[in-house]
Amino acid sequence: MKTLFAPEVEGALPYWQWKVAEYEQAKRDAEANEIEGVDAVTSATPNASFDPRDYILPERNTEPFFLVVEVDAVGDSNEHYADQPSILYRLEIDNAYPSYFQVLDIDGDTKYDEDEEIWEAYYPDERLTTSLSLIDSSLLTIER
Amino acid sequence: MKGNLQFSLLVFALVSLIVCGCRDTPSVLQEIRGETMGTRYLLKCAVSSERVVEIQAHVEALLEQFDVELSNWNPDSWVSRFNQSESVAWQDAPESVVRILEASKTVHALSGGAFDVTVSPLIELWGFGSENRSGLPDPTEIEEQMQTIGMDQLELDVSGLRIRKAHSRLRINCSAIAKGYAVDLIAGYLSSQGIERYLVEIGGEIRAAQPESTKDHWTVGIRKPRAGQAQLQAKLALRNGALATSGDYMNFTEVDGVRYSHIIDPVTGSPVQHQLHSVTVIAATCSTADALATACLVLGAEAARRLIDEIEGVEAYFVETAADGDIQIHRTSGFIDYQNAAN
Repeated sequence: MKTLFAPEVEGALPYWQWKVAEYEQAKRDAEANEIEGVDAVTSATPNASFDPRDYILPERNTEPFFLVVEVDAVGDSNEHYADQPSILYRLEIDNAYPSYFQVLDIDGDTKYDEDEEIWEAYYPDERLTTSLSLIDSSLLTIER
Repeated sequence: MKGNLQFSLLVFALVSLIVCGCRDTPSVLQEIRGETMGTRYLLKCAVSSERVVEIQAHVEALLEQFDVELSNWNPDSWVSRFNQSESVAWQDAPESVVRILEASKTVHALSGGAFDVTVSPLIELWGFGSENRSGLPDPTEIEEQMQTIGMDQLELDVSGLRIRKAHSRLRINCSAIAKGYAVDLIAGYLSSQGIERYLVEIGGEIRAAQPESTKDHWTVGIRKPRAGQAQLQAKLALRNGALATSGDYMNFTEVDGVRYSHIIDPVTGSPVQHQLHSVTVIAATCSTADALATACLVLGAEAARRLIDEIEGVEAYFVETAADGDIQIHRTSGFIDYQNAAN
């Protein structure tokens, strides 16, 4: 999985950072489980990183998938936060029902669940102010 | 006399303590993993745990140096600067570049031109290079770039470590042999350190020496030629040898429902279009295996089998799609021995 443009402040996009780590670990675990009994595997060169084509191209993936966008302004304080949490926007793409334009819906603000040890989106409450207006709306255009 | 004996015993005890204190923990199989060249590497070697950090640091340094010299994705690498230059004068080159190009010329000749590191402009044109192009190239663009390629346009002075391009726009891309060469380089380093039991793998290209002490051989799996599926097509036993696989299933693009492989045919200037999906080659060195695997994929099933049959000490395993759509396996007789040894 590859971060093309990292945020200037580390940890500004905590959900993305966590998903990258989770994905890489899951991939390592899956490969270790699927290919037991060999010392090494020879193949055409696999990418070290996440290949979005494996999810996006209908030829490779027939299952619906989610596109998630994480938005944050570092240091956007208000009376409740010194730095308001990042906001997730999400939409579901199902190639079985192809569309050319889709609007991303707000999914929530990011928080770490200590018990489950996962980052999750929580429905925004009144404590969030300017972080909710960093973008007006987000439209995805799909070239098919 | 008694004093002398006590002194001797004391010295003996001290020497014993020093020897015991210096002894490493026993050699056990260690695994070192990391990323390089846009893919992953794996190193298994039987050494004491104290040496792992030192070995990994040296391997990482070798790979970083390799990137500085050979990468087409690093704009400051020696190869990138060579490609940007339009000079037709002789240029001093790193030894790795000269050695790789020397090996490339050998496989180019063996394969009747199927293996060609000068197809770099075509790799970029078809969107498989560092420039991130998309869409299909115009036929006139392909024709234009075809004028700039050709291994005969690349001259080597091996002993003088110099390279010259005869055509000012000649560019090189060593991706089809670089990983194999890097594997050989790391294997050479491990041997030079007195390490006898190891396996090195970069992006599916493998070289192995003796197996770990409890085994007769290293067991290597050949991955099924399907993207996203980590399942095995076959297993083989490897000991003191190298193997590499080239395939069309990991790196390709699709335009209007047509799949285009990243393997460019230097004769047509376009991605290969045939039913051969994966070739695994066993050879003495990984760079040879790597380059031959790519050459086979360019040639297609029948010509590839003829090529391998003509080269002594080389075996191969071909996965292709038959006319009825089923997967069909072809392999040299010597390859079967490697498979039988794994069972």
